Amino acid sequence: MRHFIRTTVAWIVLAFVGEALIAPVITIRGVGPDFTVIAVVILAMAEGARAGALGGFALGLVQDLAVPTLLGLHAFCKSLMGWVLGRTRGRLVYGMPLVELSLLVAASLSHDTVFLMVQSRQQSEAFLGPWLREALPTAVYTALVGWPLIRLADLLGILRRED
Amino acid sequence: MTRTTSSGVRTDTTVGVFCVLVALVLLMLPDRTQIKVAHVLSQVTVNPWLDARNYAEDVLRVKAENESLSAEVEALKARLAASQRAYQDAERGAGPAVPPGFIGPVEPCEVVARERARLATMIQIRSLRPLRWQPELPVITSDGLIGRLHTIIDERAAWVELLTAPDLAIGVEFERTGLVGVLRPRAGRFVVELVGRDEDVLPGDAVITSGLGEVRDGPDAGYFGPVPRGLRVGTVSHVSAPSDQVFKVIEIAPRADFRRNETVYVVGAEVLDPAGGTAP
Repeated sequence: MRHFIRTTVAWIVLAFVGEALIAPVITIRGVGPDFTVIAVVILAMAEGARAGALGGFALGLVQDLAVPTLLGLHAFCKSLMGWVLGRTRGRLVYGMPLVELSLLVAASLSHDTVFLMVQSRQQSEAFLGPWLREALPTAVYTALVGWPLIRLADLLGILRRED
Repeated sequence: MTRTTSSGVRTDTTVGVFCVLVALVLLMLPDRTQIKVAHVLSQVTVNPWLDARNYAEDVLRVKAENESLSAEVEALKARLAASQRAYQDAERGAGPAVPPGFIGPVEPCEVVARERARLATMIQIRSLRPLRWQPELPVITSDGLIGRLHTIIDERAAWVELLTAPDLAIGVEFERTGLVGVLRPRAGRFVVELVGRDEDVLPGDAVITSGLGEVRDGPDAGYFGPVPRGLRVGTVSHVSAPSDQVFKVIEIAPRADFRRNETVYVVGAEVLDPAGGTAP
C-alpha cells in the first residue's frame, strides 16, 4: 500500500509539476521535455500494464480537456503507451542507460507519431513537418530529462522488477 | 516480487482495451459534443485546480497592485501634509526658509526578514522595482516612520535600521508648535531630547521629522541626513519637567509597529529603468 501511494504521488507530482512549472522554464526554441510521457513511463515500469493504461488514460484526458476538439486523443495515445510499456517491462534490463534512454525516446516518439497521425487526419494538418521539427527533438529532450528521473525513481524504490 | 498470472494478464488487457476504447469513443464524437463532454469533465477534474491557481495568481497580483497603490496613497498623504504644514508655517510666521515637507517619490518594498528576535533592530526589505537608493533614506509604513536604510545589498535588496536601534538619533519637530528636538531610543522607550523645560509641549502632540540633519562623532563621524521634514513619527505620551534638569523629559509613543510589517515604503529612492538610468 505504501509503495502504491508513493508511486501514485510520484507520478502525479512529476506530471503536473513538471508540465506546469519546469517544462516552460527549460524549453529551448519551443521544444521541451514531455513530463507526462516520463510520468507514464515510470508508472508503467513501476506498476505494470493495468496502472500504466489507467494512469495514461487519466493523464491524457486531463491534457485533452485543454483541446476539446481532439478529446480522447491524448488519452488514447497515453493509455496505449502505458499498456504496452507495462506489458514489456519484464523484458527490460534495468539500470542500463542505453536501455532506459531508448525506452524514453521510443515512448515519446511513438506517442507523438500516433498523435500527429490522428491529428493530421482529423484536422487536415501536416504530419512530417511537425514530426521532424517537434516530435524528434522532444523525444531526445524527454529522454535526457527523463533518464535521471527514472534513476531517481529506482533509487527511491518506486520501480519494481517483474518476474 | 510479483508473479504474472494468466488472470492478471487478462485483467491488464481488459483494462488496456477499455481505456483505449473509451478514448477512441471520445475521439469519434462530433466536435460540439466533444466540447460539451470536455466542459462537463473539466468541471469536476481540472477546474478546481485552475480556480485555485487563478485565485493564487490573483492574490499575488492584487498584493503587488495594493503595494503600489499604498505607496501612491502615502505619497499623496505626504503632499497633503506638506501643503497643510506650509499653511501653518505661514500663519506661525516661520517664514519661507522652512521646507513644508517631503513631496518626492515613495517606493513600496516587501519585508523579507522581519524583526523576529526581541532585541533585533534591523529588517531586510526587497523592492518590487530596481532602485537607486543609498543609506540613510527614511523608511515608513502606512502609520509612520519606521527607520532608515542601513545597508544596500543591491538595487532590490537592503537592510533597514529600525528606530529601536540604540545609536539612532533623528531630528524631530512638534507639529503644533514647531519646536525641534532629537529623538532617541532609551531602554525600550522613545524620548525627545534637547527641548527646554519651559517649552510648550503637551501629551498628545504629534511628532514629525524636522528635516534637520544629524552630526555624529566617534567611529561613524560625519553629517547624516537629513530625513525630510514632515514624516509622522508618533505622539507625545508623557511630559515632565524635573526641577533639577534644564530639559524636559518627553516620551513619545511611535505610530509605526516595528514587529508586524509586510510592506514598507522607502522615501526618496529613484526607480531605475532597465537600461540603468532613472525612470521618470
